Amino acid sequence: MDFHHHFVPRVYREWCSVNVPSLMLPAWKPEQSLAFLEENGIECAWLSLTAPGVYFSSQKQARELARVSNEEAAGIKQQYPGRFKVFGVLPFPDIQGSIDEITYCLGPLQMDGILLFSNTEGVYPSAVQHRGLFEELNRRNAFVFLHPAMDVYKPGGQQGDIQDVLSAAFAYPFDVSYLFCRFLAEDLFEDYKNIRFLLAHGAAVVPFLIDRISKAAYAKGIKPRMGRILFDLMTKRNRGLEYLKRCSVDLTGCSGPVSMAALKSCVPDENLAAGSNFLWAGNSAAERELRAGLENCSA
Amino acid sequence: MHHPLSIDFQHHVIPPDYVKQLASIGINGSHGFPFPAWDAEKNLRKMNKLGIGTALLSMSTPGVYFESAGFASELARRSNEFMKNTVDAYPDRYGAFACLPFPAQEESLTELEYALDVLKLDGVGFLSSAGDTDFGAPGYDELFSELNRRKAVVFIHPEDRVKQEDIYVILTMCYHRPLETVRSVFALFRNGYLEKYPDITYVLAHGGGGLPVLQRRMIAFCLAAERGETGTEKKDRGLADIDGSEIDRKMHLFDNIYYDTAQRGGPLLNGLYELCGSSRIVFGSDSPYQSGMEVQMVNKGIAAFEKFSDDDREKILYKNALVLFPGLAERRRK
Repeated sequence: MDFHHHFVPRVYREWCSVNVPSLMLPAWKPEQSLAFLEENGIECAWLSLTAPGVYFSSQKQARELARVSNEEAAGIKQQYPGRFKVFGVLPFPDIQGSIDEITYCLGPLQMDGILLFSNTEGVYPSAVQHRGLFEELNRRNAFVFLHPAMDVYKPGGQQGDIQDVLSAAFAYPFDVSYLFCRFLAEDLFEDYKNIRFLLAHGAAVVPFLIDRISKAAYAKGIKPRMGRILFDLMTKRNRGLEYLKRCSVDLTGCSGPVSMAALKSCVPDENLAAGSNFLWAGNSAAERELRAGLENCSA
Repeated sequence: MHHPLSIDFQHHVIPPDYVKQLASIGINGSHGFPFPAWDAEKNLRKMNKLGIGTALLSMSTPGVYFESAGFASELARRSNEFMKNTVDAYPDRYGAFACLPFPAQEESLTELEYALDVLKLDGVGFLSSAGDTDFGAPGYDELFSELNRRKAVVFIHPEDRVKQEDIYVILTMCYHRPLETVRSVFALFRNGYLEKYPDITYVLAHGGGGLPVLQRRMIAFCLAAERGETGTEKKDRGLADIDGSEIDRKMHLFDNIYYDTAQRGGPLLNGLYELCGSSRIVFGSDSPYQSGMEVQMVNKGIAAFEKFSDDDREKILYKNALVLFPGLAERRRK
């Protein structure tokens, strides 16, 4: 399966070409993806909308665009049985709208998971600020794809000078690492044990730095959580690593030997997921990504 | 495990005068904690307990650049002299990375000459940034030329440029700090310093932050940028189309980078081992900012890592260092 495969719903593209023309989204038809899957001997692709998502001007706008995009995705899934799985997109940071959309996506639309961008308009999904959202995902044992998004890519988003743009773009996948760290500081993995995460781009620096990053699970603000620290030391528990092992990790953009060495030494093979980053990678690159990924995992 | 010959690349010094000077401008600590008291002899006893043979001293955050270039130069000079006195008192137990008033280039060149020619310190230390200026920012060819001419060994340690608050305050240490190290190397690469000044050796704190797993993306990114294939409208579009072999051709630019072990973790060691075997890994403890227990865990990790041979361990603990610092090797022989 190809877990990291972007698509462009017709309604989404139409809306964006009128309202956000500088996004320059390519046209996409299911046949293109199907052809790619055929050529690569893959049964099924998990479709996700691309950054920057649906939130452009208002809650109402975001809810509408999310709804029509998700309905189209669900339709595509039905049209080609067994070929596509679909992640629903949310009008985040509209929380009530997001909760309603989760209900609709995982209920009537029978979608397979939820797409959550690392940040939207600079707002990061937070187990503390957005309890309701995570409670809903938890209640539904949702499969959640954590994918980066960055302000700098949005028209009208912060531009900065070329050095900053490059830095930001270079840093793009690491927004998911940052989100993972925030989740540790928020104790999300303890509070919402039923959510299954898929981390994009090999979770970037998380595996390599897992022992440093884990420390976020042992502090509440500036105060160390002594009880937890002592308990974990005595039981030789590496909490952050455990939480990481609960996640699936998409191998797109991370198939280099050093990343793989770090990742494979801490995440079991069955958690590794191949991806192509179809749409943004040219076809040959997407193929390379996918094949490298498939070699490295059993999914 | 505890090796009396071990050479510690990340061992911080906090000169008492430095503490006084900073207190006079209202700064009383770093890492969110007040400056610990530091004394060469007491520190030596701690080193003996931890089995550290030689400590290469360096200044840590918040560095010396405050108020003015003049203030910073003075602070750097006094710190370098303190380090020199420490080395003189115990020449086989201490070495030092000189501290410079970066980003003031002229003043840094002056201090560099004094520190290496007169004080005869072993290497040069930089924080990943000072104020708004990254170490690696454009405009420092004079400084890098000189470092290159001297074949300097440069230690890079992260600065806390991003200061988080509330429940996220720990992320400054956990997440942002390692990426500051990477940011500095990104600047060094992007601005051509790695290419133009290949005789400089860099040692990165904390296993290089995330550098080992980010090198290829870094190269791909800059290649795509050169072709005008990145920018706000193009996202990753150019990036994935860069062929692996093109990236391979540029990897040698990172061959002069060493990684210290002041960061434990099996995945980290696996990543580093895949990158360079043991040839560019060097022992680091992050004393006094890591507890003795943490340092023991790092040592245990190195000892237990099944892919290291005993020979690998010796390289990491001290042999790689002796090649980089012939002066130190000489002092230890006496």
